[in-house]
Amino acid sequence: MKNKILINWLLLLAICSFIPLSSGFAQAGHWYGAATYQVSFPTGDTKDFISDPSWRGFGLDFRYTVKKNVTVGFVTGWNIFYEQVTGTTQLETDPPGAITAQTNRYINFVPIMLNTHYYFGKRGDIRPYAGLSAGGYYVNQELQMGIATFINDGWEWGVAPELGVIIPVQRGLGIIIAGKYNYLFTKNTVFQGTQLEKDLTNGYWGIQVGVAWQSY
Amino acid sequence: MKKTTIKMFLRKNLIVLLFLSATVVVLQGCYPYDDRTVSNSDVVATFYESGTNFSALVTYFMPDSVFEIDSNGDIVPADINSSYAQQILTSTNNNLEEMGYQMAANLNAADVVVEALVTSSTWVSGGCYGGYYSYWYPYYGWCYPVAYTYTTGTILLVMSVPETNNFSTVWVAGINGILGSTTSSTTSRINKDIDQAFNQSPYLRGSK
Repeated sequence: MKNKILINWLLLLAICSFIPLSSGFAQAGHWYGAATYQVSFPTGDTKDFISDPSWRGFGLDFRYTVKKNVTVGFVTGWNIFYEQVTGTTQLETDPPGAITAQTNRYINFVPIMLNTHYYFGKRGDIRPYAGLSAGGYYVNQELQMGIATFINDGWEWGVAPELGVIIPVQRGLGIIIAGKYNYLFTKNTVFQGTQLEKDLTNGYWGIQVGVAWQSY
Repeated sequence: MKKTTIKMFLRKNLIVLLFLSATVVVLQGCYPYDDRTVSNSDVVATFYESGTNFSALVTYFMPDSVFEIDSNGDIVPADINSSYAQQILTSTNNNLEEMGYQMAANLNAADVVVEALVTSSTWVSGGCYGGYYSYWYPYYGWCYPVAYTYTTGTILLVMSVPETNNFSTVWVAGINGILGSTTSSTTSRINKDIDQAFNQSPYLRGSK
């Protein structure tokens, strides 16, 4: 069910992602799009919950040239972290204890962010770039243990600095390779109202590979 | 400036539409759904009263029955398969003795009382069978509603120190899982999970 909700989100985002383009038909400048496959590596509290890298992720980026070497735009995507952990966890509760179980752990990140990028080099060359995204993430975190499922979802704010390169293949089409660090600075409270309540600061590195094209 | 039509725009962004469609299909296909089964549904939780001097607790008394809490809240002998009950008692006794506890002849001679309680619950859960699409009324689309019914069993092991008019609980183990259909697998899980309850409670040994 949760997956269906996320897919509905995704479709809604896809539809929304075209709205600024449609309204920008009469504007000057160029829109560029980028679609990327993403591999992500958890850090900090995210890594404490799921240590495995995520092999399931994609991103969709639209950038509008406002100056020769500068774009502004927005980005969205979906990164799925998953790990199955079997073992004993010590509980620092009152009274203290321990719990042993097979757990299935999930975190879904859906970033919806505005961004700006600066490009080095000349048009037509290989163009390294640096950028920064700022905005929000829809975060859905789930812990399945025994027959119980604990779900925590909500909106978190964050920033994502990025370094990348666009390699032109032919006119209006290129390959994009980038690395991005996603830092969610608002805390995600899990197990609210229980003795296990904890504030998590999520974060992850992402490696992105995909295609970039001139939208119009 | 050249006028851009929606048709031209969609043609230029065809790759986006294709990418999105492919991504939705791929992510749905490889989404890591859980694979919970009867045997991996077991949860073993233990808690203890901090500050308890388990070294001073040497002898134990354990009733020769497994109990349950009835609808009135009274503790009564449990109505369960006698082989399961015996397995629970035997496994608990073995673990206590392995940790250095000695069985007392009666309650008055025991430092602690260890009781085993059981309970079961039937759960009904709903969900979607996503691979189904109905061509007939009612058109379910992506979600064909299904209901699951399953029964879970819980074993509680409670260690208490007898006091003048009361018992002070110093250790509790809770073992919960979906009840299986075969006696052999259930017996195996009872043994394994009771062993685990003691393994994750090394403080019970104290200096014994």
